[in-house]
Amino acid sequence: VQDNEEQRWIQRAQAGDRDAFASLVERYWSRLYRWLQHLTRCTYTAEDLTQEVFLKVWGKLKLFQPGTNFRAWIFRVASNCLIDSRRRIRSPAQALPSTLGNHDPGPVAALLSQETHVLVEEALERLPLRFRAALLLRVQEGLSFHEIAQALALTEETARWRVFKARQILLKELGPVLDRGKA
Amino acid sequence: MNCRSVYRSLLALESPAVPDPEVREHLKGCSRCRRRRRRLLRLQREVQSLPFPLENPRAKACFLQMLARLQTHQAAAASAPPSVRPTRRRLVTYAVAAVLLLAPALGWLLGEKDDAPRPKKPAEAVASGSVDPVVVDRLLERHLHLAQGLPSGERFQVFVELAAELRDEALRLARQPGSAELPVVVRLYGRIMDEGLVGRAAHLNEPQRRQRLPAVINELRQTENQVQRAIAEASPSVAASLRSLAATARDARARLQLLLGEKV
Repeated sequence: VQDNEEQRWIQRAQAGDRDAFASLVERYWSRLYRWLQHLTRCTYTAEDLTQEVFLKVWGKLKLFQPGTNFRAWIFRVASNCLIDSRRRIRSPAQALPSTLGNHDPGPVAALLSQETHVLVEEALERLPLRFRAALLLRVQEGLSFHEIAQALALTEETARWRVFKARQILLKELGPVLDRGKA
Repeated sequence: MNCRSVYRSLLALESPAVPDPEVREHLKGCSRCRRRRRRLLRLQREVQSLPFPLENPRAKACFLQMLARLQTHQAAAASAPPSVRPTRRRLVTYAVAAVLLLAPALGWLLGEKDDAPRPKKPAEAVASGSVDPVVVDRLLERHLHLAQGLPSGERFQVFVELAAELRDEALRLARQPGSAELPVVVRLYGRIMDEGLVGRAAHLNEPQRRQRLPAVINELRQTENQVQRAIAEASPSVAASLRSLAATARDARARLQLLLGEKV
């Protein structure tokens, strides 16, 4: 959902207002970085790509049509940057760094939660990239199938299919893990 | 509805938490499907609650800092005297924004060695003033051109100019003892040559090759000579970087000559 504030930032940024663009950067930086980090499995590549995405967004912002979906558009730019980067760099994927030190829910719960997180992250890592990209946009970013289709240049049905497959594969892999601990 | 169709319907829903009435009806009497749905909802929650990966706070800070500096440079460009050549003025306009380029551009290089200690990002180096902002400025302008999807001939020309900028910057840095940026710039030069200039040259058609390549080959030859002269006056560590630059230029020249059907 694009709120009025965001629309104003976009319009001002299109008119050359860098402060407004900085607000957009603030709003989307972490989300893009998280998505790209999950897809590249490399913090440095994700960081570089995030910068590249905003550079391109800044360069092409005038091409964005006000009133259309900025969130889907920015993820589309990110998706294109990722594709370009995969063409450029054919290096093996890096293991995810541990990012599990951020919660403190108590020792036992923390252990279970961390273990589940690790298993979920590992299962996500094994997902084919096209399924992972769509699932994360749906679940973490809350994009609708229509928006995912826009972001990844797919039909809506294909977007729905990719999310379907991602869920199916993950449930098959993680089934019993998801029964334990707090439901 | 049978269990299979209910399961498939749940998997295909935008929000599995809100199933269709028909599915809800089935769930009431089927513990197996209820368990499957619980797992699906748990999966959604788990993926949703995966912690945000740790960010390098400097990355965004640098980007925003550069954005802020861009405004200053834009203001400067706006008040520049009319005698400034248009291209030059445009470069000034982009001055700090150019810094933005270096991060992704050099990211091509830096992203490769994730197991090695990461050198200071050029964007940070620029932000702290150790890389000539005018060079970065030009790099950005070209990067923006590349991002705008030019035809192959023009893209090739962008890479030619980019390579020349990097060569000049490398020679400038070579005169500064102990420059940490020199090896980075030399590596970027190599990358621009390999993946940009030579790669793009292969996509030129025959008339374009005949028209454009001789001048570039000549320039690369001059680069080799210039760098050789600089090596003679350089310290051993700087000389090593410069030798690498000269070798890149030599190799690129040879490959372009082969594209023209010349003997190397």
